[in-house]
Amino acid sequence: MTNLTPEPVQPSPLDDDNLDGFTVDALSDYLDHGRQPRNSDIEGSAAAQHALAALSRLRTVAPRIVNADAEYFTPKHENWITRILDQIGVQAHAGRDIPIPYDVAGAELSITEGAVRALVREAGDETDGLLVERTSLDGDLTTPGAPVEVHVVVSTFATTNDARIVPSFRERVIATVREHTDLVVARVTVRVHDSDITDEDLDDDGNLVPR
Amino acid sequence: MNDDTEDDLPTRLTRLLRNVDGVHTVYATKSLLPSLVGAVVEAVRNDPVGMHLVTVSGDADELTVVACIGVAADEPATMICRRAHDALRDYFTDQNLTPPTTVRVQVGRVG
Repeated sequence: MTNLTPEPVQPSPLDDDNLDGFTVDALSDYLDHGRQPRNSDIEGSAAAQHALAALSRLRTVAPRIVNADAEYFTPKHENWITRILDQIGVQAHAGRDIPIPYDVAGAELSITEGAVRALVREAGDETDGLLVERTSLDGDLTTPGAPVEVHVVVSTFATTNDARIVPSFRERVIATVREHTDLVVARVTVRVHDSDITDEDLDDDGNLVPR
Repeated sequence: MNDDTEDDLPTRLTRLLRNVDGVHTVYATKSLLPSLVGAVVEAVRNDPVGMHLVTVSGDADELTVVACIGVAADEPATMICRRAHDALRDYFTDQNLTPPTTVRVQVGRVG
């Protein structure tokens, strides 16, 4: 049986700043205790909430991913979970402010880069057989109308049909970013292990085209 | 609770935001470590800790209001953000207060 106990994780050097003073380890402990007693500082931090959501998702799917892989290949390298845990702190931080245009004097509206990354992660949560490892938003996010690229790295179950679920996930990403931001998305790339799925890989119906 | 004290404007704005359709959370706009001092002050006043989450700064002639919100995912976050902004600005108009020169609303979480 695969041992899911992660190796001791060195906190990301960014964690303390990124997660409003909390580390991924501290948030993991909080989750272990059923979020009790309620910590108003954690519950009042958007970054900590993003990290908690990512940790919850990881705990739900990690055993399935590892066990599914083990049936077909060698078990995933134990550093896989360590790597994902380390990314949670980096992904959850607020990051840049993405402007929300509003033609009212004195209005400065924005959505954080961290909130958009969380939207992408949640699109992954809604896709069975897939876990979003990390998302990067490349481009000048702070200038309205500037084209940006969304790059997502995911893990999939060994039993997952990547050709079916990756295009579906990619469509969810495009839809949620369009719905909740005014970003001009020029390109969305989803990388599964060593494969890249881009616009050029899909036909007009969003189906994967064999290379 | 006394709503007439000058310090209660952030509290009132926080409550206001919590009642805006689509807003489910009002997050702290300052680093949480400095807010611990504020939390002690709020506890002494018997106000619920964490109510002073909206920041109001500057002079009466040049106020800046800063808020960070979590919003529901069933409407565009951009729409809810604009709605929250309007609610803050309307509050000053309705109360015959000098409107703030800047109202900064940041969406920190969706869903």
